Amino acid sequence: MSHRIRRGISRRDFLLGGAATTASLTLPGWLAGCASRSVLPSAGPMTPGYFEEHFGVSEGLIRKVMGAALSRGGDFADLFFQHSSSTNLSLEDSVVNRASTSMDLGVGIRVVVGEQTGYAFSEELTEESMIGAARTAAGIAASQSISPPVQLEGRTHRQYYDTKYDWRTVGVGRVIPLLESLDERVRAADPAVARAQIYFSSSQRRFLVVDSEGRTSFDNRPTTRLIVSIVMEKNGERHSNRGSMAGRAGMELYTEERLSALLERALTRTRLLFDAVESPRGEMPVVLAAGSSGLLLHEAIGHGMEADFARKGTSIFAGRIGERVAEPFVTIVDDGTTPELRGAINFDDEGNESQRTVLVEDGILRGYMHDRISARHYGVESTGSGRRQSFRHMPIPRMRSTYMTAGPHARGEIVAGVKRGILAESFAGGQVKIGAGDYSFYVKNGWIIEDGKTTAPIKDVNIMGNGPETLSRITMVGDDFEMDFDGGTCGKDGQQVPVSLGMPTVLISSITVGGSKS
Amino acid sequence: MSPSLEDLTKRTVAYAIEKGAREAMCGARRGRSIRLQYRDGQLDRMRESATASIWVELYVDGRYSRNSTSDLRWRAVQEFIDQAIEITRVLGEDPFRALPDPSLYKGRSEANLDLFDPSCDKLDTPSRQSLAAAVADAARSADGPIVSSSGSWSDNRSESFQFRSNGFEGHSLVTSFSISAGVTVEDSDGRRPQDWDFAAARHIEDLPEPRTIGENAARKALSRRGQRKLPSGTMTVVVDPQSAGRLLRYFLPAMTGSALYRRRSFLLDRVDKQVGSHNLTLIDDPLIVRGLGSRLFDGDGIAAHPRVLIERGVLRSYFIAVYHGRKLDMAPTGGGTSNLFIAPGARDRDAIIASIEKGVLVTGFIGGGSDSTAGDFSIGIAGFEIEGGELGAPVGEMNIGGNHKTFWNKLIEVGSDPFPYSSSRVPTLVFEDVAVSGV
Repeated sequence: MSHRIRRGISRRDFLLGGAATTASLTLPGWLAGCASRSVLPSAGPMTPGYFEEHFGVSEGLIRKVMGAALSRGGDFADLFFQHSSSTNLSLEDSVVNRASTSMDLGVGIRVVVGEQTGYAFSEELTEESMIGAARTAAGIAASQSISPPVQLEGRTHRQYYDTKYDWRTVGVGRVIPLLESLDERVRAADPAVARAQIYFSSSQRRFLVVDSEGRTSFDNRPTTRLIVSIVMEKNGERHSNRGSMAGRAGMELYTEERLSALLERALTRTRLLFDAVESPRGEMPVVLAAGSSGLLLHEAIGHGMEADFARKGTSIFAGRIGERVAEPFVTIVDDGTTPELRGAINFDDEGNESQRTVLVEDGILRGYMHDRISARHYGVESTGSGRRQSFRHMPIPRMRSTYMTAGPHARGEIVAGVKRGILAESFAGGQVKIGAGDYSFYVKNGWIIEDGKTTAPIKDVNIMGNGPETLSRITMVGDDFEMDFDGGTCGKDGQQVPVSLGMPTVLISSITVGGSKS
Repeated sequence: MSPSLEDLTKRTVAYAIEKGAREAMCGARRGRSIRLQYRDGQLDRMRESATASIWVELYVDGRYSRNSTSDLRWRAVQEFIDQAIEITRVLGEDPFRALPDPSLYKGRSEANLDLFDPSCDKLDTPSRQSLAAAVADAARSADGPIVSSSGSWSDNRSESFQFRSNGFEGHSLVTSFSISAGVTVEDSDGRRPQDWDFAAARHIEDLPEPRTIGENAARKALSRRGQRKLPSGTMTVVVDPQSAGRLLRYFLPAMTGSALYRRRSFLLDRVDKQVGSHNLTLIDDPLIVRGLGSRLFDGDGIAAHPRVLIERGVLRSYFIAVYHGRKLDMAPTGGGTSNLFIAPGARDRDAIIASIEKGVLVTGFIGGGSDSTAGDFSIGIAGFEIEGGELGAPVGEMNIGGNHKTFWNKLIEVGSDPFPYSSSRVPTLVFEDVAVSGV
């Protein structure tokens, strides 16, 4: 089994300031601290009453469906109602000439017995259809029925993005001029630009999680991404590259400062490809640039620290908690609480609080990322890592935003210490084999380092390593931490979820570079 | 109850036209899939899904959008179309967007592709459980330090109907079945190598014995103990049929109309030119009986026919969908792959290996990527050392790299052994002088 992450080429500046102020809001009009009030008060579209108002999902109906889910017993059950919509626009030949919209609605029903899971979903929120799905999910269990909870308890959660935002109210007429102006700027910036495509996506997901203990949570997540993709031609040679940015945010994400940085990145990284030389190959020191090279952590350690692999014994990190795995200046976390990042979540898809989970602290392996099943297996609290692609999927432990905190070394000092190696600057994706620990990540742009200086650019080279071995070979960590404000889409068990990445400049003393130069 | 897929598509298209679309297309799909997984001797997961959705292409005032929804309450569909038409009207015009010329719909094969296995309706929970358990038990009972093993069964049934306002109608009803096994073993250095095996088919009777999949996964995982990393070098690389399809898939994006139009293709202006060695003959055949990629018409509704894409190394045809065909002034050929074949050679994988003095057998790729504009690629590999015509130690944490423009000229032999359980029926591929990196 292997797991992949896809990503755009990232921006390297971090969203500062204002974002943090959203972190202490709570959902308005939600229970007002009174646990006995109805779970689904009649309310506007921004409140938990959303599914009742629009789809007739009343508290009584929820109890009935929960009753069917528990009709053959089980340790635990949950219902995940989802309504989401997305709008994508694309610009080609300087015209925004294609839109694609989608709407998704349904409920996923899960019944858990020990570590066994029964799962079914319904795309119709009718009583008949939901009860049918609940009975199917209940098929995993085979004992006495359990009563559904007498009352549902609405929970409040801290907020790391604006849950009152609604992309559905943002007209495409507001977005089109933005894309047109970016196209104009990219073409004006360099006569070598032969083609430009710009892709914009926005989506809004509302969901309600109710579990068999009556815990009930509602969220409304905005997400957006912008990709600028360029082809340049010079003297009959052609190269393409792109820049992108993303967040759990609304239109306010697209400030002039970030947009101009995005264009600059796309242009610079395409121009560099014309000067690229063949990359050296074999084992050598590799410097990872600050920011999106957090991809290394995602592949080299992140997946191996997801507790479903650990509890099954299929991770190379299984049973190694408390062991030293890296130098004392290495601290690695997975964090759902950094505001407005793609990987931010207010709570996970099982209703558990989001948190900052320390995976490696001062070089010591500290803890796994848990969903409800693994937390119970290990007798610990969930880390709020139970995520799912949609109501069609069961939650499993997943990463959110994975990064290494800043270390003691200056960037210049790190590069200066390399006699012959490469600097990896932008990335296109990676993959890992959890058990063997072997992973890869694909470098789109990089540099050759000779005698402590970057010399010629390189392109399209895959790097191969082994997770625990690489961790032990991180010999320098920069003081220049950057969060990548783009992030990727992580695939595991056929489920895609948005994640983010961050990293200071890091030196790995030896790793295999897959260049083609003899 | 809910309307038939045919009624739903016709009703949706009629509504879109009524609301101002000049032309419209609607596809509707209804599917059911059941998947069971056993892990370490017990039923671990059981997942059942029943899905229904529509997708709608709207052509409004010379503008275009593509939309999809799973909320099929008729009032919700109406609102969804209303909103999509409103959005479409705000876009820029695109003179190349229109439904295909109806003459392209003609000539659809009358062949019975036999893509539906009625026995799928007879499966019940106990029979599915025993199939999954058979795979899992075989994996679990293999001799060796197995840490964890799993076996899965899945069956899928999918029906779809497409309707276009200029006269296209197309129906399809298909089944697919798959079995897979994954095994993790303990190695002496603390690593826990894993491997897996799978098979998929349109009919249950075409699947191999479930236990063979479990046995294969266990054998493959156990053989990965004691992995080494070879020194970097330039050597012969043999790619196993089960992995060769992935390598081929890095080549194909450069053959699409969208890549050609965007000038993101190393195959621009290369028709009738040599793009690989004379050992490379690549065929796309949509009309294979029981084929996993078989179909009577493509995404544009164009009648599907077999095509030679590369003939003895010479590029003959691209994948041109209707829209990009108009932009490129090229005749549409079908926008994507159906069943891909590489014309087989004379010997199977093991016979080929026996004739190789020194090289690497690749049994799995990891990560990697490919630049379809310039042709550069670099991919992680796992496999085995070949020495003196025999397989040696497992190797991994290694990589192959090159450029597609020259790499496929190094294809010195093609095996006789295409992988049957995929829509890419690719045999063993042998490349010489490949840049391999390791230590």
